[in-house]
Amino acid sequence: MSKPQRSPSPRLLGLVTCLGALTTGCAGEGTLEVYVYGEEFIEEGIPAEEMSDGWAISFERFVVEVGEVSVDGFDVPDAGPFDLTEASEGQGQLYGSVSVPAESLGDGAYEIRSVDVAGTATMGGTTKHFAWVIDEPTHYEHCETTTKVPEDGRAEFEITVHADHFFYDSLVSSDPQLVFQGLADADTDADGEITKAELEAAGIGALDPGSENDVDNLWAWLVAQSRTLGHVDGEGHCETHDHEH
Amino acid sequence: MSRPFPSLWLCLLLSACAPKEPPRVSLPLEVDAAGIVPMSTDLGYEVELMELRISVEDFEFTIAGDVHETSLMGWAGELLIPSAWGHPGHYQGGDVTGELMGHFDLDWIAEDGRSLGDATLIVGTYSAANFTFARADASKLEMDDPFGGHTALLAGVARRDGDSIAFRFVIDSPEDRSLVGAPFEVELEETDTAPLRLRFETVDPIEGDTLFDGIDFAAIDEDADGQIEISPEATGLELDAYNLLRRTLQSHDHYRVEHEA
Repeated sequence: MSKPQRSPSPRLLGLVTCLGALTTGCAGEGTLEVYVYGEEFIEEGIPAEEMSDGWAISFERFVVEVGEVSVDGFDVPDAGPFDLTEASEGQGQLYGSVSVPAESLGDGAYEIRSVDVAGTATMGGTTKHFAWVIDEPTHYEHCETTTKVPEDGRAEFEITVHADHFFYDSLVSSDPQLVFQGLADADTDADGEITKAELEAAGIGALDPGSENDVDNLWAWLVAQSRTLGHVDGEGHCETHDHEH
Repeated sequence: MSRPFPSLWLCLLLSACAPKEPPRVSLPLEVDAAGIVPMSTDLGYEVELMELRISVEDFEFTIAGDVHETSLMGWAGELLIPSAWGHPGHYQGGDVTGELMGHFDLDWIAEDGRSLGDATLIVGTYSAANFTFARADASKLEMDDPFGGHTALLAGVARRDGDSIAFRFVIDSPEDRSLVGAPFEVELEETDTAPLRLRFETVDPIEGDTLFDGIDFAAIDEDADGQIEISPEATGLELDAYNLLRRTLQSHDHYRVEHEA
């Protein structure tokens, strides 16, 4: 099992704290386990009743490459990639674990380096297939979470991936609709395969890119939505940035 | 040596620790039509906007940088408007330290100079303004006013190759759709009294894009009668034009808040 690998400053602070607490004794250690989970939407698909336009989505693969995971300055060695379509009975897939002080840990951070997603969308007798690789990394930090690690026990930190964001009709709405029709319409050669080239040639129609208004085709739309996939412990939010910023 | 009364200690303690009232200003926010000018679009149309009505509510003014790092401004900002945790990647701008709340159905050209009320702002260096798109209150309009219940109405004339097309677009924004990041680059001082001016600009002063770039008026006017009316129920080419104009209208490229000290 890895030793705690906190960044230098927190480690020094921890040492000072520990020395300062000598009269009362240092806290013990526990194990922090990190999971990556795509929820039922990835493992079982997104049913038509969850979509606003009647399409149903199923995924053949949803492979994420995740790295630079840390919680409160404790680094977790890189692992994966992980195919989140594999059934996990609600647990997600174990990314790794580290020994950490038995205390409440916050400030989670990680990076999703790439998403390799393939699947089908169906409505009535129509089926559209897609296979897209988005390899533009997004860094998530200052995630909204507190993980309480018990002494000699274990606690979990979950990196949650929300696949449904790919089908949001807005980059800014707090209550977006889930739609696929625009992506289906991008299959202009009607061969049933929605390609990156077709998406790059398609306008975003009624989708709302927000006040920046700097997304002008459906491939750029998917890339922009990919930067919102990452959460923690279910619905916890993080601050995000790409590596251009 | 005698010791001060406990009450004096308390007084000294309070004077040292109690937060001081942050300096703030109250400035009128006025509609400004100076930026509504004829424009030449990328498709070669000369467009004159004759009517621009937009329903908005709840203006916010954001200060540059992260005020949480400075105790006074951080305290003041939290006092005025609590910070919101936006959805990842969805929140732009700095901390909100100024506001003018309320619902306003703006008739930008006809009401040039209209005061919307007094905005309250903490003194500081501002970077941006936000507001929320709303729906015009039909009960306060003429019964047949097409603006009623909608977010925006834009009417005017587009000319190209000697032909004129009169147009009217009626736009609906999604519920609670905010416009975030309209430029408001101003350093406000406690002694400022000049109004803030909410300006709409038909030509983006940074990139030169116009409000109607990408819209082919002649293609939309399929019956060639020189008139087009496009509503949220549009289909086909009209829907494409509607979506394009809605995105442009909802971007921060065509709004600005000015202040001339």
